[in-house]
Amino acid sequence: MLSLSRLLTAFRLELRLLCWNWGYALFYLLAAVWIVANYTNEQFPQPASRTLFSMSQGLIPMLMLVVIVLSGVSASRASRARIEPLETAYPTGTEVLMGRWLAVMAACSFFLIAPLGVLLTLGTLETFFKLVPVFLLESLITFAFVSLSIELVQVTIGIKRWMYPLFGLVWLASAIVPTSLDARSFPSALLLGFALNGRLDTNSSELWGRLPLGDLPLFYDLFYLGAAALLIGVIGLWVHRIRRYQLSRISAVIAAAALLIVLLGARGYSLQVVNAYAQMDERMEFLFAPGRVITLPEAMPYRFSRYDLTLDLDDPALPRFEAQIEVLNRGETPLNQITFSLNSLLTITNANLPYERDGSAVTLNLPTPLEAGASTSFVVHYSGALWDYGAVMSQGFPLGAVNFIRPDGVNLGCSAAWYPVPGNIIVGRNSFVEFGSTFEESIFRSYPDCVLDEPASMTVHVQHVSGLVFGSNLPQVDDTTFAASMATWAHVMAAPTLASEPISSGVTLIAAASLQDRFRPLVIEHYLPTLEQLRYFFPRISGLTLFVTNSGFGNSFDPAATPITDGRVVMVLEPYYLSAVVENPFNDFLFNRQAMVSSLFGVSGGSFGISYTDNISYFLWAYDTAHGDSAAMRTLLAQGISQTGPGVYVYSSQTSEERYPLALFLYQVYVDQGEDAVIDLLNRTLDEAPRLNRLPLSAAQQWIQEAAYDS
Amino acid sequence: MDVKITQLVKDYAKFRALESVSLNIGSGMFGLLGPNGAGKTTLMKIITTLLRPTSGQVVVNGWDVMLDPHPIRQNLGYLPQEFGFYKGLNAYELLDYVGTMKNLTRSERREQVERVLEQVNLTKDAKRKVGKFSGGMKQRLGIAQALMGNPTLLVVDEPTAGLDPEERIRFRNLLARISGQRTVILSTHIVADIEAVCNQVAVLNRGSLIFTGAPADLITRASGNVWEIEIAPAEYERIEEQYTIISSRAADHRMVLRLIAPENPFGRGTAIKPGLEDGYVAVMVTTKAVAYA
Ligand SMILES: Nc1ncnc2c1ncn2[C@@H]1O[C@H](COP(=O)(O)OP(=O)(O)O)[C@@H](O)[C@H]1O
Ligand SMILES: [Mg+2]
Repeated sequence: MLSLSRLLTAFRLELRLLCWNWGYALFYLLAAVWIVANYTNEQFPQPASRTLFSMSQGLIPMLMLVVIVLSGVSASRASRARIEPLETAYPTGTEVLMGRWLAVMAACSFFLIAPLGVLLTLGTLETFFKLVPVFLLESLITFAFVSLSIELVQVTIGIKRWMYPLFGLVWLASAIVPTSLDARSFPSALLLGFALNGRLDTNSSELWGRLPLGDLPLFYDLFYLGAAALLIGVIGLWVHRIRRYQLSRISAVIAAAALLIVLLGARGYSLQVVNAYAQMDERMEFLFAPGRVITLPEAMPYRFSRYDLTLDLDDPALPRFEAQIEVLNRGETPLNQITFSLNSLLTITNANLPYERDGSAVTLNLPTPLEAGASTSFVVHYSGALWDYGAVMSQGFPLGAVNFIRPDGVNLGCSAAWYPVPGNIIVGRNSFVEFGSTFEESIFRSYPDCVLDEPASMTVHVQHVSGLVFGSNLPQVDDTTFAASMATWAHVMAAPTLASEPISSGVTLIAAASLQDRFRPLVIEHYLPTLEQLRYFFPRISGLTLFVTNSGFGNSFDPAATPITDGRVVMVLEPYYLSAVVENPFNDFLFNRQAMVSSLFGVSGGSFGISYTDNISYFLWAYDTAHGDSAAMRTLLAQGISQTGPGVYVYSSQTSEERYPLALFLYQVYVDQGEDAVIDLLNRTLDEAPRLNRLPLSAAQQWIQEAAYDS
Repeated sequence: MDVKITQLVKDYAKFRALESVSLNIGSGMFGLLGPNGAGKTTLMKIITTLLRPTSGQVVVNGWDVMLDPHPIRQNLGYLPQEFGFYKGLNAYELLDYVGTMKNLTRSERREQVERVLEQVNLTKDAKRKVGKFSGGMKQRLGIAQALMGNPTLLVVDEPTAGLDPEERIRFRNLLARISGQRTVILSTHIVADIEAVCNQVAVLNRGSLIFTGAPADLITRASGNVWEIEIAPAEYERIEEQYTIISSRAADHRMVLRLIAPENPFGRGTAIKPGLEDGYVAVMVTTKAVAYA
């Protein structure tokens, strides 16, 4: 009890000496003003998770320097004040040191108040309480590690002034060295980047918390928690030895236990990294195996015309699937075999037909040949805890897992091949590039290989989903069923905090519940009007499904890799893109109109190059902005879309004529032949889209130009 | 409270700062005399558990400094030769903090802080920041912090160094007043500091103990060896070579010297009654002579 009161007294006194002076007050004030200005002075509203992410990357490492200085000031205070000989003669132990260290922790954590305030204004309370504890915990764990290291320097060799640049260098090294080391040779290297704490670990999302990062953050935290405790143990041992000439049993036990935690953390971490690389290597080996043939669904003489999929989460650690699939022989000869792709992490437990499997490629042998034009069906049961490391790695380690099924969340994009996809595709590939002899002739598709070339009827049932809310590109039929009669892909997402909300007739916003309020007005103001305008030209559009998900979902650069489903335009956007549309007209064009048209036509947006749908979007933009007035449209088409505003990346120096020849052609048709002719031409183009998508821009353009004069 | 020192040796790397020191210190005021560099601070740091001895034993009230440093600290008041305070605190806050470190309860602290402030005559200045204290005030506050917790052993290392003569006298009186029943170990290189107050004295020179006993015994060491002699200024150098001069004063064109000598110098001296300083110088001279021999 006496030592507790000494600890508290030391804490209070140190806190006062640290904080109750002009230097600290002034610096604190400046830091707080800078933090607030830097993280709230955004032109458009950001979700809390994104701000938190950028704080973790920039602010926490900077605050680490503050921790170093404050720890140094505090640890060396007694010796600088020359009160040390007095204090050494008092009957005290480690408790005084611990009290002072806690004061340092408090003085440092005050710097987190401003960021917390900022975060509170950016999201709902729900978001705040979901994201902030982890942010706080991780910041404080690494703060503790840093300040205890400095404390250890003081009690052993004593801090001198010249050491501060050295501490700074260590900080810098921890920020630079681990990331520059090859993670294959040093799988735990990133673990040592304490200055980059947030970079790996505070990448939270409103939907899944930190789910997309797997267990890595857990092991990272465990490692630093252990390291901090180890330092406490070592300091305790040291102080006890020099003060009492005895072994401190408590400190020894703490140090031993902490060492165990450190080792566990490091082991878990490096095992995961090693595991991830192994998975990636396996995939690469498979991809580049001699004789490996990649066949897309369109190349197969059959198609899957009907999917009946069941996802059973009864045992969340080992989800089970059942796929009941109808095959149609669309070729001219009878079929003996059916090849499809299924993620190699999913193990087939049962199939009603004999099969062979090689990686993700599965070949079914039909008992009797399937005649041309005839259908049959097969059933496969499979299970596995999908955790798409390969995609993590291919996006640059460690960003975020893309596809996963875990007890606390599900994200299954079709590129994961979580259901049988005809052909032998590259699992996990989000985009497709086929380079031609010129850029113009190259084909860029930013949607994954898994997308079917002909729509199928798709139904997804989910079972035993306690606590999870599901969303899908397939329209929701009831609580556990999603179905579409004309779909080329199926994406299923689930989180406890997911909300799928009808905004107006035909428009659904699927996003974290805490983001709905933020995004609803954006959808109403920006996406709804654009949808209405598009429907005027394309009456077949039946609605819009907007997925707003966090980074790490599929190809995060291109917002529109999502073909229509049952006539509904589907867009998968990061919160960032959705927020960016208010920023300037060009972002609105990119992430709204062009994304919708791309989805409608089933091609990529403009990020990889120019496609004919860019031109169509551009023409439609001019038409809608000028309300059909041809003179005004001409001016708009010549001027281009205003790209002024922060956050705009201008990637082209081409003039409007060079960039949008087809848009100018459509304008000519509009002037010469009238509105109905353009609508007719555009819809015929849409009918032809599956074929045009395969063509280079010039060829697609040629087809459209010829079609314009056909009617 | 008694301190038993047996065959104490302290080496700083290759340098021997204490050479086989054996000493018993009982209650009352104990003066540790010695020139700068004699090893007084080293000895005190070992007694106060700040330093580990190289060999030998120091037992304070039955507690060995190497085996049981903690209870010694609990009963100790220590005023180091060089020290400072947290400048941002006032005297009251500082003493209250020290009280907590010395395991006093809240009420004990309040009572003792007021008492020690009173004892060192800082009550008026209790609310002033210690950073603004003068040298004498700082020294008194140092004593005050040592007195917190009512220590039975008080160790003060050259407390009068750096004080002006008036402050020094006041400080000596203060020490005499507070000594009471405790054991007080006071080190100094100024004989006058101990003259009035100490009942036991030890003299350290170059790490070795060259005298222990009552101040009267120290004086006896010089009896019959202190002479006053009147000389011409020209003679001074010759005499200095031969004898240890304690003091000199000029009178007309002559000089009067007070010196230590085994016999009447040149037959011209007058024997005089020795003081403590003479005794101190005498033992120093003897050891030097022994060292030369
Ligand atoms: N930390 C140390 N390292 C090396 N030598 C030291 C150290 N402290 C003291 N000394 C030496 O030990 C001798 C005794 O010093 P000290 O105990 O301070 O003497 P005093 O207090 O009597 O002046 C001196 O010669 C001094 O230079
Ligand atoms: Mg000294």
